Amino acid sequence: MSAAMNTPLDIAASAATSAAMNTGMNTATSASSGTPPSSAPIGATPPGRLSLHGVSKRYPTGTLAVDQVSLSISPGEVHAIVGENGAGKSTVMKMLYGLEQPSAGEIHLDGEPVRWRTPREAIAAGMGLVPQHVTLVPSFTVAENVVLGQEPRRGPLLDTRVAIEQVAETARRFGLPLDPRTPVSRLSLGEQQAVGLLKALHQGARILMLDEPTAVLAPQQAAALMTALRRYADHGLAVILITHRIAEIREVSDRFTVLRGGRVAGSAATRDVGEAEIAAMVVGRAVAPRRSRPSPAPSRRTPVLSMRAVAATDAGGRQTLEDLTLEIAGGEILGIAGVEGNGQGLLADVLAGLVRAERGQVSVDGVPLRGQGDAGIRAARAAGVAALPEDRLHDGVAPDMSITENAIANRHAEPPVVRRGVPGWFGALDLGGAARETARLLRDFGVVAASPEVPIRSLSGGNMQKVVLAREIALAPRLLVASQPTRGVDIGACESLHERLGALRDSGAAVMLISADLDELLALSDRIAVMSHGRLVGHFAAAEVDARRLGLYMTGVCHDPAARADLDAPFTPAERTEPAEPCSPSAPVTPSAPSARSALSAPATPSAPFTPFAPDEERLP
Amino acid sequence: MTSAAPPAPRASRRAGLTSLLRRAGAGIGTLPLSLAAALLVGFALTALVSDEPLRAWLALLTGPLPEFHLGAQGWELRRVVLFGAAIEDAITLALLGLAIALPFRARQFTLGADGQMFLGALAAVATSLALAAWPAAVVLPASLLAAMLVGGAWGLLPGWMRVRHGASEIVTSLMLNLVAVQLFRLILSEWMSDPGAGFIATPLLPPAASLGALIPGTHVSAMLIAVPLLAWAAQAMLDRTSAGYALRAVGQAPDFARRMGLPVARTVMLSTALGGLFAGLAGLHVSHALLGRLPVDLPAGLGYEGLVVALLARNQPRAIPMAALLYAYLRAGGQAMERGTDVPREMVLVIQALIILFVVSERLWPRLAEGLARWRSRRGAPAVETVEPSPGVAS
Amino acid sequence: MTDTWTLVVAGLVVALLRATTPILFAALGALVSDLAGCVNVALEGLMLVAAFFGVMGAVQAAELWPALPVWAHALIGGGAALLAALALALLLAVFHLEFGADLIVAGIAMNLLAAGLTVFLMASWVGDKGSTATLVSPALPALRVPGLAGWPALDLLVNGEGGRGHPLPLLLAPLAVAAVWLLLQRTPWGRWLRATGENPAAALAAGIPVKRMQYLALLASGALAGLGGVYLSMGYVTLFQADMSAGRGFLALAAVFLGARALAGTTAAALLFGASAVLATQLGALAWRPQLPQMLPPIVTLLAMAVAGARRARRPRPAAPEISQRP
Repeated sequence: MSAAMNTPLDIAASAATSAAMNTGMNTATSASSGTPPSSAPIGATPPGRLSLHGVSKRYPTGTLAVDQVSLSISPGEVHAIVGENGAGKSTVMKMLYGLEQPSAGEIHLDGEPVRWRTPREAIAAGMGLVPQHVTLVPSFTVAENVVLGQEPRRGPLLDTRVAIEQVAETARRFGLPLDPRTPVSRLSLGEQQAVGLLKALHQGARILMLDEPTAVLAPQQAAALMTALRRYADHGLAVILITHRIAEIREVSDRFTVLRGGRVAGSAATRDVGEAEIAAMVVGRAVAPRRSRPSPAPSRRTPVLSMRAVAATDAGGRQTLEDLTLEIAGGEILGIAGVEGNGQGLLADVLAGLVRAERGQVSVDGVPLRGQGDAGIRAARAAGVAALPEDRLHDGVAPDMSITENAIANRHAEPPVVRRGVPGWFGALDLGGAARETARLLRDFGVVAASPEVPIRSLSGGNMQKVVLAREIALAPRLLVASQPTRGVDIGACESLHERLGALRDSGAAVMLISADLDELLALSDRIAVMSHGRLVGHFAAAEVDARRLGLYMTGVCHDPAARADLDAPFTPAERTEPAEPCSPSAPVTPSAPSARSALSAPATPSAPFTPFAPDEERLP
Repeated sequence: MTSAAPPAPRASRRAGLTSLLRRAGAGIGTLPLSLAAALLVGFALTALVSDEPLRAWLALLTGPLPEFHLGAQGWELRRVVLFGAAIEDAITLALLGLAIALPFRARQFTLGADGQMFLGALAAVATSLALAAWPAAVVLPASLLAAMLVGGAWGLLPGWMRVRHGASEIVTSLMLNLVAVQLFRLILSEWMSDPGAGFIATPLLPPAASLGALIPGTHVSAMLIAVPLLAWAAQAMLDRTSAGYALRAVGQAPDFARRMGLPVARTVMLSTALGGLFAGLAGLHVSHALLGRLPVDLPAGLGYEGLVVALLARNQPRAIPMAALLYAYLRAGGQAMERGTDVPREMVLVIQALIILFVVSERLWPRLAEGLARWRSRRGAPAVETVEPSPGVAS
Repeated sequence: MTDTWTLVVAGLVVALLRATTPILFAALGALVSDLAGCVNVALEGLMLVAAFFGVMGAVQAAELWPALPVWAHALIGGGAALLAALALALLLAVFHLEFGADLIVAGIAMNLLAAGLTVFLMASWVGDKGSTATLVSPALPALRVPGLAGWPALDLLVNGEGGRGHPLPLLLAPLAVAAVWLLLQRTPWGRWLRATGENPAAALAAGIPVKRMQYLALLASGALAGLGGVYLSMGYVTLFQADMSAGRGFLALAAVFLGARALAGTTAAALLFGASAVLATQLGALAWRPQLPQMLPPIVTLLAMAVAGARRARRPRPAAPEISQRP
C-alpha cells in the first residue's frame, strides 16, 4: 500500500489500488508546493465537452482539407480519429489547437462556440496537443521545455527550482519517469514524445490530443502508453487519439471516427465493431475490377533487384529498415503496401542511392550499389535505377522551369541533348531538338500544354507525373521505383500511367510500386509485400489476396514474422476465417486489449532502456 | 500566379487602383512602382533639408545628359564628362552586378565582390607592370587573364567552404572581403608602391596597358563594347549550356537537382568562381580604364552596389547592363545635383537603399492593396473580396 | 622594474578595453538577434546612425538649452543616438516581418541607407562631408575614482590615460554582458527568444508570440549596436566621421559565429578582435605593417568555420547541404 502512495499513478494496477490511487492523487495534490498552471487538479472541475459542427477548412490555394466534419467528444472518453495521410486528421487537430481557423462550421466547448486564434487561447481553454513530430527546443532541458511559455517566476526572473519541482510533480502524478533536468537532445524519440505529453498535461489540458503517438514507440512502450491514456480518461480527461493502428483503436478507444478525403466516412462505438470491419472502413471497400494476369512463373528467374537483410536509418532517425529481403525479377511488378511512415520512404531513398544500407546488400543486375549522397545517386543511376519520387513538386520537378527543361533533367550533359562536338561542362544544349522531342512526348502521353516552354508548374498533377515518368523511362531503366505515383492525379491520367507502368514491365524492366492505394496495388502488381515498422510483415501473390486481407497486415492486426519477398520466398499462409482470431496461429499478435496485462508485467527488455510507466518491481507491494 | 481573388464586379470601376496594385504585386511591374516610390521618398527627404529641392531633383534626373550643341562646325557634344562618368560607372557596376547575379542564380548569397575586385585589380596591375616592355597585344590579354584568374580563385573560396564545410557563404564572403582589402593594402604598400608619387599608389600603368578612351574627355573605353557582349555570353551560358542548366536547377530546386544526379557541389563552386571572375574584370576596369594606377586607399563598398544592380535586373545577366546604366545614371545625377545645388550626392545612396527595400519587399504592394481595399470598403464602397492568408509561423 | 611592467600591462589592458567596447556592443546585438533566428547584417548602419545622431543631438541640445551643464547635453545626445538606432532597427524589422523583405538584403540596404543618410545630413547641417570636426561636441560623462595616485598602474587601469576616467559606454560594456546573460539565462523572455530561434514551431505551439519576439530581438540588437556607435563618436573621440564604423559591424557578426553563438564565446571573440586591433596599433608604432594583425580576426573566423564544418560533416547530413537553408 505504501508503494501506491509513493507512486500515485503506478500502473501495476489492480482494482485494489485504484481507490488508493485516488487518495494518493489527492494527497499528492495538496502536498505539492507549487500547483501547476491549471488551478485545479484533475477531477475537481468537470472537463469540457468538445464538439465540431460542420467544420471545413479550405486553404487559400483552393485545397479543401476538411469537409463538413462533425463529431463530439465527452469527458472521460477516448476517441480515435482514423484515416490515411491527407485525410484531414492533422488539419482538424490544428484547428482544435488554434494553429488554424475553420473556414466554415463551428467548434463548441461546453456548448459555447469557441474560436481560438492562437495556441495560447486554446491552451487556456484546456486543449493540449502532443504533435506527431517533436516540437521541443533541443538545447533546453525537460523542465524548460515543459514550462515553456508559462514559466514560474520570482519577480521578473525565472524560478528554476519551482519549475523543476512542479514538473517533477506532474511527472509523478501521471506516471512519466522523466528527470526534469535532462537536456532533451539526449533523450530518445520515445522519451521526447513523453516530454511532449508531459507538457500538455502540465499545462492543465482537459482535452488531450495525440497525433500518431506510437509511431516512434516500440510495441511495449506503445502498449504502456495506451494503458496510461485509458487511465487518464478514467480520471476525467478527454483523449483524442489520431492513429491508423486498429489494435490501438480496439485497445483503448471508446468511440472512433474514420476520415477519408477530409470527410467523415464512418463513426461507431468501438465495442460494437470488430477489427476486421474497422480495417475495412479505413482502407475502403471498393475494389476496382482486377486485370487478369498469369501467376508468376516458378522462380528460376534472375532478379534485377536484390536486397538481402538490408538495414538502414534515415538522416532524421525517424524511419528504419530492418532485415529487409526482397527481389524483383525483370518483367515483374512488386507492390509494397503499408501505411505511410513505415519505412517505404526510406526504402525508396536507399534504392535511389541517397541513403546507404548499414547492413545487408543492395544490388542491381548483380552489381552492388555503394556510396551515398551525390556518389550514391550517380551509382544508382548508372546501374539503371529510375524513380518517381513521392514528393513530386519538391523532388520530381523544378516547378519554375519549363517542361522541356524538366524533361531533359537526367540527360542534360549527354548527347543528343548536348550538341555533338562541344564536349564537357559547357556543352551547348540542343534546345530546339529537346523542345521538339518534348512536344512529341507530350503528344504521346496525352498531355495538353500550351507549349513545351511553359513552366511545368502550370500542369495538373497527372500531367506533371506523366512528364516525370516519360523522363525516367527515356533512359530505359532496369528498375523503376514508383512511390505513390498516382497521388493527386486525376482518374484519366491514372489509367494512362498504369498502362505505361505495365508497358515498362512488359519490356523486361523490374518495377517496385510503393502505394497506399490498395486498388492500384492489386490491379498492377504481380506480387505484393506489406511493410510495417520497417519490416516485411506479409508476402502475397496479387491474384490471391484482397484489400481486406492486406488491410489486416497493414494495420498491424496480423503479421507474418517469416515474411520475405525474394523470388523463392513462400507466400504468407492464409489466416483462419474465424473473426475472433483472424491471423494464423503461428503469428504472435501485437499487444491488444486482452494481453495488455501480460505485456506489462513482463520486465522491460534491455533493448528498450526507457519504458514509460514501467512497473517498478522493487516498489510493488 | 497570385492567389488574389478577382474584385467583385460592382466595384470594378473603383477597384482600378487596387487591382493595379494587386497585379503589380504579382511581380510584373513592381519595378517601376518601386523606383517611383524610392524617388518620391528621397524627394521628400530632400525637401526637408534643402532650400531648393525641385532644382536639386531636376539636376539629379537630367544632369548627366550631354548637350548637343549646334556650333560653328556642326553638331558638338558638350558636357560629356558627367555623361562619361555615368557610362564608366555603368561598366564597373555591370561587371559587379554579374559578379553577384551568377552565384545568386545558384542560390549562393555571396557578397564577396569587393574583395574579388580588389585582388583582381591588383593582379592585373602587377601583370601590366611586370610586362611593361611588351606590346599591348601581350600586356592586355595577360592582365585580363590575371584579373580573371585571381578574382575567380578568390570567388571560389566561399563556394568551396560551403560545399566542403557547410559554411554560410554570407559570412565567409564577408570575411574574405575584409582579408582581401587588407591583403591589397599590404601588398601594394610593401611591394608595389611608387616612391615618386605624392601618395601611396602603384606607378602609372604603361601606355601599352591602358585602355584608351573612345569618347574624348572621358574614360569610356573599349570595355563599353565588351560589357554587353559579356552579359550576353553569361545569359547564353545560363540558358544554353549544361553547366548553366545545372546552375539554374541547383538554384531553383536543389533537392530535385540532387536526385537527378546533377553535380551539385561542382556547380556551386563554379557559380561562385564565375562571380569572382567578373568581379576581377571590374577591378581591371577600375585600374586600367578609370584610374590608370591603383591607390592604396581605393574605396571599398562598390561591391555592395553591385547587389542593387543584380536585384534590379532580377539576376538576369542580359538585363544587367541596362540596370547598371540606370543605377550609374542616378549616381552621376547625384554628382550633378551636388555640383549645382546644396544637396550632397550621398542622397543617391539613400535612394538606392530605398530601391532595394521596395524591390525585395514581396508583400509590400499586395498589403498596400489590401489596406487600400479595406479603407475603401470602410468608407462605404462595396467590399472587395480579399483572401486572408492562413496565420502561422511568421518565418 | 616591476612597476614599469605593470604599467605597461595596465596600459595594454586599457587599450584592449577601449578597442573591444564597440565591437562587444555590436556583437551582443548580433547575438541577441541571431538567437532569435534573425541574422542582423545592418549593425554597421546602426552604429553609424547612432554615432552621428549622438553628436548632432548633443550639439543641438547645447544650442537649444545652453544653460544646462555639458554632461546633460551629452546625455541628450546619447538618447537621440539610441532613438535613431532603434528607428533604423524598427525599419528593418517592419520591412522583413511585415513586408517580407529578405533579412540579409534589407540589412545591406540599411547599411547603405545609414551611410548615405549620415553623410547627407552632415553635409547639410555641418557643411562638411568628412567629419564634424568643426563642431564642438561633448563627450559622454566619464567616471573617475579619485585618490589612486599612489598606485599608478591601478590608476591607469581604472581612470584611463590622463586620469580623466573612462567614458560611460566603456563602463557599461561589462554591465551589458551581464545584463544580456541575465536576460538570456534567467528571464522567461530570454527563454522565449532562444526558443523562437531554435524551433519556432515549438515556440508557437507553446503560445509564444513569435513575431513579437523577433521584433523585440531586432530592436534590442539595434539598441546595443547603438551603444557601440555612441561610444565611437562620444567617447574618446568626440566627433563623427564618415564611415566611422569601419567594418566593426561585420566583425561583430564574425564574433558571434566564432563564439559558437554563445555569450561567453562571443565575448571572448570580441576581446580577441579588440586585441588584434591593439596589436595592429602597437606594431604600427614599431613601424610594422598594420594589415597583418587586422587580417587576423576574419582569418581566425574562417578557420573556425572550416573546423566546425569538418566536425559537422562526420554526422549525417541533411539533403543538399550545399544550398543555404535560408530562413
